[in-house]
Amino acid sequence: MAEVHVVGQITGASGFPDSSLLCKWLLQLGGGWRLVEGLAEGQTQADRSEVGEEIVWCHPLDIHLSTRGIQGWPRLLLQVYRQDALSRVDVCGYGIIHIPTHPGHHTLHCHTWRPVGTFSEEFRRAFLGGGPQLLSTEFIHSSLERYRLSTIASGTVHLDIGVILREFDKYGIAT
Amino acid sequence: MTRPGCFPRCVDENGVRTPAHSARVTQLAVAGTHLPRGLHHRDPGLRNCLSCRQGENIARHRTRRGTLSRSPEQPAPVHRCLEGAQRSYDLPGHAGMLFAALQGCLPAAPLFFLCHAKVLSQVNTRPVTIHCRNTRLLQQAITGFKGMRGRDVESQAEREATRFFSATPLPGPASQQVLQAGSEGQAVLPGPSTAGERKRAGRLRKLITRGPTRFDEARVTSRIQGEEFFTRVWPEEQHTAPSSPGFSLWDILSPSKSQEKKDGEEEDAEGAEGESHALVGPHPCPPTRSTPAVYVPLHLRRIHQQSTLFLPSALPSDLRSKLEEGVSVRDPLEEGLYVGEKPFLTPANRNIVENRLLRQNNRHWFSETGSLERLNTPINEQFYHHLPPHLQEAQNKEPLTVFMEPQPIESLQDCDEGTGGVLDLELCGLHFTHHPLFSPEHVLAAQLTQDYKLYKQRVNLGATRILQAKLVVLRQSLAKLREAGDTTNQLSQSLQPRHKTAREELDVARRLEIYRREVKACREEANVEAEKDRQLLTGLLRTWRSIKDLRHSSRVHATSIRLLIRKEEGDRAEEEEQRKVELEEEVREVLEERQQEYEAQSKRYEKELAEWKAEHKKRKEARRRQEERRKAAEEGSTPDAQGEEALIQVAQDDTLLASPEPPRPSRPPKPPPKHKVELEVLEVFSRTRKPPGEPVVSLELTQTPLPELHNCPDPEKKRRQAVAKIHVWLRVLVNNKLVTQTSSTTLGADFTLPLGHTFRMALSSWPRSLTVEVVEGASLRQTLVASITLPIPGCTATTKDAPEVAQFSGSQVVSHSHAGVGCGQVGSQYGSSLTTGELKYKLGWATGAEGEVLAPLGPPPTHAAIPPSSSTALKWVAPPEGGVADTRQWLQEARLDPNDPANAALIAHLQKSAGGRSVRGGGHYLEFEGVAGWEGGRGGGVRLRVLELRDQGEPLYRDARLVPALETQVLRDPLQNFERRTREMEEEAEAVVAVGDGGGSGDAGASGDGEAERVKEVGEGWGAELEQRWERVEGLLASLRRRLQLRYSPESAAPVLEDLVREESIPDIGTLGSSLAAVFRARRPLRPTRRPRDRVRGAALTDQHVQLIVHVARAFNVPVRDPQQQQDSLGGGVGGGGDGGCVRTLVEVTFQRTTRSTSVAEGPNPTWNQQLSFPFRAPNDNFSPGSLQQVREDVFLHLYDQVTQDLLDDPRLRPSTLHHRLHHRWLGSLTIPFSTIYANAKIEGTFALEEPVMLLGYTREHRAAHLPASSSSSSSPPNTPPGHLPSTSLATTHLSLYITLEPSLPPPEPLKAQFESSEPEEVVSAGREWVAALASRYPRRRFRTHVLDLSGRLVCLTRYLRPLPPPQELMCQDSAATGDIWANSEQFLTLLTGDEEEHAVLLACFFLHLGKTAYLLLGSGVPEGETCYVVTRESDADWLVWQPSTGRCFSPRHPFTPLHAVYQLVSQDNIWGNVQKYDDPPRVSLDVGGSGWRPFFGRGGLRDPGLASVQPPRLTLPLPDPAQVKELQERLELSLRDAFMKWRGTNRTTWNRHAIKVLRKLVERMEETRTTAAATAAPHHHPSGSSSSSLRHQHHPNHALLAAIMKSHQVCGVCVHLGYSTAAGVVAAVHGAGVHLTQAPGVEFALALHLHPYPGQVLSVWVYVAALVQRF
Repeated sequence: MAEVHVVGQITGASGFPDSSLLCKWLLQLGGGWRLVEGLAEGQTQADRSEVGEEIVWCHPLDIHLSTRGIQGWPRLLLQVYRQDALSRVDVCGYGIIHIPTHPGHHTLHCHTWRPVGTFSEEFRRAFLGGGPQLLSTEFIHSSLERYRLSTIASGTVHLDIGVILREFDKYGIAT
Repeated sequence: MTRPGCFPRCVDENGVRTPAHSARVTQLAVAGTHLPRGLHHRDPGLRNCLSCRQGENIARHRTRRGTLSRSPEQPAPVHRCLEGAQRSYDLPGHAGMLFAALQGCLPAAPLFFLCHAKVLSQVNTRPVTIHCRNTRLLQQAITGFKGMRGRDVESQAEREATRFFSATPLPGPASQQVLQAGSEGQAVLPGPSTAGERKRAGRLRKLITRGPTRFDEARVTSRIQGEEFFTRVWPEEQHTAPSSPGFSLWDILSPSKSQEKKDGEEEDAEGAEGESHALVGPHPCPPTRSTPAVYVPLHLRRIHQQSTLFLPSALPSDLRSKLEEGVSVRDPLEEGLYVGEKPFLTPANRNIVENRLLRQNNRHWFSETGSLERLNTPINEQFYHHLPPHLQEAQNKEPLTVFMEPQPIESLQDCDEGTGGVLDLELCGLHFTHHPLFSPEHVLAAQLTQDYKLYKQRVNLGATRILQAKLVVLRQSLAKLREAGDTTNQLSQSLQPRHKTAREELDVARRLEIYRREVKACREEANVEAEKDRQLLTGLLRTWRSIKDLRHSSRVHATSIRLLIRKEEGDRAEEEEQRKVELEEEVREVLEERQQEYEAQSKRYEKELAEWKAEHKKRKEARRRQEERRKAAEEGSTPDAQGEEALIQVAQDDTLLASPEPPRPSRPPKPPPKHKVELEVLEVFSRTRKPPGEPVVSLELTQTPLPELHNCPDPEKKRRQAVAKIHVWLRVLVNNKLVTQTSSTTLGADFTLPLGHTFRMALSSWPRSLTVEVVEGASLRQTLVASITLPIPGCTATTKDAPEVAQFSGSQVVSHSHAGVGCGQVGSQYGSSLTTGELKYKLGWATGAEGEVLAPLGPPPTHAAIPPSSSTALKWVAPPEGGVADTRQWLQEARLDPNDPANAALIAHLQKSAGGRSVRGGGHYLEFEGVAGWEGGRGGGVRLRVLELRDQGEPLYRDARLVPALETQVLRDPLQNFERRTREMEEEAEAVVAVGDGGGSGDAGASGDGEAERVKEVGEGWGAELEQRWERVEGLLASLRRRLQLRYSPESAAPVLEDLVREESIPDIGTLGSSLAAVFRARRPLRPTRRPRDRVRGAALTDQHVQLIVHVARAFNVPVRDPQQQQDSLGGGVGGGGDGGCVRTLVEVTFQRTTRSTSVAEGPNPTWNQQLSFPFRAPNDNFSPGSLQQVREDVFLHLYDQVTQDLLDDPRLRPSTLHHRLHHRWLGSLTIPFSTIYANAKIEGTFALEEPVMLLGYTREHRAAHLPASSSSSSSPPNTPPGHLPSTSLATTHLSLYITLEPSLPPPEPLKAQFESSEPEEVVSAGREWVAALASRYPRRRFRTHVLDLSGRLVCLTRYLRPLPPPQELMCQDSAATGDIWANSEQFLTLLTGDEEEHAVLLACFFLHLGKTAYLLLGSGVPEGETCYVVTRESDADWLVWQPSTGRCFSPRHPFTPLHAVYQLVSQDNIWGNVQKYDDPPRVSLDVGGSGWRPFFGRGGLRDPGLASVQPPRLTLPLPDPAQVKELQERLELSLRDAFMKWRGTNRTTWNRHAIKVLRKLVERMEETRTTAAATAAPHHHPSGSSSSSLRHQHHPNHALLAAIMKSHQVCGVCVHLGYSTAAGVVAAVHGAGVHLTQAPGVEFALALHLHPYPGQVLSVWVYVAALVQRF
């Protein structure tokens, strides 16, 4: 069993139009993968940034995985929520990013998007909050469904991830 | 400011002008105005260029000066432009550069510049006039345009202008002069006189005002010529000599005179401008010539064009002319081929192109269809994706997104676990297609209906018709192809023999072949379909006839069905004619096919025959040769000469002959003669086509009203009655649990059940299964007909418009005596079918107010993952499952039209798959080589498994901080053990839960049996087996606990904000004020109030030290040393033994292996007032409530008497020396579980100590009790006189304590998980309401009506109580000994892992059986926290409270009860909640009839539903085998002795055999004494009358024996009594007594053990341990 350690953090985000954000993340694994230790999903705190500053989460990730093959290489599904003055949240970004396959330290930037609704929905969103939300998080990564969405770019989530691979060479995969 | 004299060398030299240079300089000249000086110097190329051209130099010079004078600030863009220009001298975009430069200048100031109008218009849209009277400059500027390749007409015009300018002569002498002057002066700018300047300016103006110039004309003509630019061949450029000398761009621009004037004035003001005029100078002979504009009239041009150009006509051309000769027009559409859409082209344009091509005689552009050969339009109207379009549409209906209102943040947490959904199930209708109550007519009618449906479907589909039409078309095209082939053949033979290549012929042949094959296939298919049609029709008619027969014979209509038959008469003759034609055609075709087949076969036959013949010949020869050889061998002459070849020949022959001869190929059968074929075809016709003259029949099924039954036969009448009696209803089951059911309805005469109910179900998670059961029942019985499993809708599926149909069939066999046909009967005419039917339903998730789908969140279970709609849709296109070969074959057979875009995706996909790649797509699956797979189904090796377990927090590995990095270093055995144990535990738990289920379902008998079996099974095991049993029970408990935790984990895992963030409150005016007021507060208040402490939540605790604080205040009623014995035994040896009744006590507290003790206090009522603090270590430093709840450690408090032994031998030394030994004698102990402290946050009160049954050498001080604590007063409670307080509790030692945690850890929140219950919903909900109502009024009191049973289901409390007969063995005692029962039953339950509740329940049950009024009391006590007691009513106002686990009883008015609060009472049939003001037992009235109790059932509430008890009617308790008990006892004693010696460590342990014998006798009588002697009040191991214990055993018959020993020895002994669970427990209890700690020299020990068996493998253990010191 080859092993993969993912140690790092969700550093923060930038480029979002809103200032109080939180991020939900979910590690997605293929069939041959197994979570040995650590959490496979989580949620950061809501960080309120000053004007023009980056959002800072510094949310730790520490995941230990074992695998039988390289199919279904782990990837992170990210959902960024914004929090309004009444502490209500709604989605303002979906993103997906693969864990790097190369060992070492990586600084990743995950660009996110959100679905665009009709004019009236966008109007409501601008003034009252809320907004179109995906019915299922599966649509974030399913290429089969995504083509039906119309989306708008959101900000970028930054991740600092260190990847440690173990025993991949034993199975003929040069690392 | 740059000065003109900066380029001295430039001025001196004269050079030749080159256009490139001029352009370059122009840029600089214009743009250089803004360049710093140094730049020019540094660029060598530029310098050269500059030096060779003085005129330009100066021009640049002038301009620079002029510009600078007007715009002192330099616009930045020019700089940029200049830099660009310098870098790219030779690029063609000079003009652009120039413009950029100009543009850069413009915003700064209006620069007057003479330029081409078009240049200006490009420069800026603003009307800008650029003045520059330096024509040279302009000329240079325009020379720059030369760089631009003449791209358009404008540039052409400019070129002309440039040409014109290039002829400009060199500057005149005047300028030379100026230049020279400038150069001579070096740094001096020649300042010309203003007069001279004006003069020159005037001259220039004169020049300018000349007539129209050639440039002007060029401008005009350029427009005209522009049109012909591309079509005309340009004549040779004529260089015209300059005719009009006074050219000026002023004329072109033609500004108004006034402006000119003004400009002139402005220029006059500028001194520098004048020089440029001087430079240009007067042109004696202008280089231009003025020619008038040549205008060619339109009509002339037309004529010219017509003569030179060809204009194709826009009219359609002749079709024939477009085709090559001898080719006929084809229409692929007609031939059934797919013709794609062509891109749209207006007909006029198409005609123009066609006509042009025709004119050029390019006919190959045209196809056979007579139109232009064009590609299909590449632009698809439809948006394409790799999904087939129909699927796309299906999916488009479901939106991907939904508008969500902003939600509170809590909703995010809920998203992970599947929250509930709302499922809508609409049952539209039920229809039986077979039912046992069908009459024969019904059966036929059902068949008819079914057939009719099929018929209707087929008619609508019209497969036969379509196929026949296709056949006709195919035949036609085949005929056409044949004709065409013939004609082309003829043509090719006659006209163009070489045109028709072999390949084309082959192509035609191939097509013919394909057509033929297709015709055959189509014909066969059509025949099959037609035959089916015909059979269906005849079948329908036959069924209808039999229905009619039935009706006729029985004279009754059982069904309302009616078949209308419409006939259309046709023309017989015509039909016959048509049939004849068809027949002929078909016969011809068949004949042809047969012929061809025959030909093919015969060809093959001939080939085979030839091969066979050759083979045969070879064989013949070989045989001949062999014969020859044989003969030769016989003759004896061996021809050796032949050598090798011969040998080879021989071998060959041998092998040839050895193989069997292939059979001769058989000749193919001759094609059948025509008449035979005709017969065959006729036969087919008769099967498939209606005979001529037969009317065309169309059918229609209708319903007629059913006639009344008045005169129907008896069986039918009975059947109808039965039908009317039967009720049918549907039950909806989710996860195999009944959710709802429809109301029962009788079936109609047509056996349909119109329903139309919509059921809305709220589900908490994804349902695993959804089943609808069809149930029918008559008056009493009900039978399940069938169950239909409905597919669970996908996460986005909502209710559809059209109902879906689910078919079901039952399996029961029914026969009736009346006309009902029954079902499932093999061999009967009508009733052979099983009950079948159809259910119409709509199923989908409900939609919320916002239109969102209310499906449960989270992933659907695997089998429900694919919504049924898409799966069926996929099936429609999916090729059959199988490999690539299958796919390919399917593709060939399907013969899809590859041109059709509808098939494009499929074709591409199939081609890809056929190309060898995986059908599933996306590369092949890489698998690691050499991986042994997942070990043990889980894989990953031991190390990963250990890591995983550590992460999951398994107790075994929770503390494993370091796990080895290498697989080989990890220990495997513990893991394997662990897994085995887990498995066993799980199995065990399953079994127990199964038993619990049986009990929970109210099936008391079965549960009793289960229990009995269990007990029996347990009873068989003894000794080691018993221990094993205990272990397993422990494991079971652990697994139960884990299950509960699993259930609660979502609730307990969710942290609140306070767990994560500690927020100090900011001091405000209030806190400041109070802190100020603190100054004046009394420092030592008389009544100090306890300040509430801050609660510290989980996360903040990690770095803190949590301490357990035990405050030991005082003790009451401590036994004192027996003065008599003291004097007797110890003489004066014991220090402080002088005064009788002295005791020096101390309390030793042990918690988490830390032991602290108080100081010594004297007297029977000592006061310590000492605070002991213990560090508290949470498991794994995890202070979360979850882990704190798992702390199973206890606080042990031991009360010791500190005995000082004087070791001083020599009394003479006494005044000067001290030599003492301290010895602790155990007087009693108290155990408080940590969980109680944690749950209550603090424990405060006075508690009774557990004491040894007998304490040798101690006695109670009578004065200390202040009560008549005699043995008679502490008699058994039932005998206690009313109103008399039993002195039981005061007779024991009591300890006042205050225990808490610092800082205080918050107790866990009460868990509010929802559990299912098997009880009626109204009871559960009423219980919930009742609890809520009471809890809101008394928040401190805990109420409950339902508790969890072993299987995790809620069971009403009352159901636990039931009179249970105690075991007979115990009942045979006299009634005074009833107290024994519960003591034993308690032990019994202890072994079966009981808690206080179980004990209490059993005790109450026994009491009930004895006819007492007994209640279960739920309250809170110490040390057990929330607990359960039993209350019995002794007389009207006298109650007794029984503590079931310890077996004490006391009056509720007793001051030192362990019971602290009373919450509720439970009886066999009701529950009462305490609504009195107080809940402490002395102040609570226990009379449930009073107003202080609120009942659960009755009094406006719910009525008692009469729930069955969960208890079995009686307990079967087998008696143990005495031999086994004996064996166990011996073993136990041995192990105890071993343990004892081990504890003593290095000290030698001597056993006093005599004492042991005496003790054993003593101990054997103990149990007897308890059960028989009336003196024992609470005959448990804590004798209530322990104050009398010393007295008692003096009167004990065996005490004489003991007294004898005590004469010779100083005895200090302890008797321990406990229920047997494990040997370890007994050992621990003996260890706790601390007898082994005696250090006296020459000490001897005695240990006796007795086991007393009780029914139900309950064992009572008595251990007597004593230390004996020989008296001297």
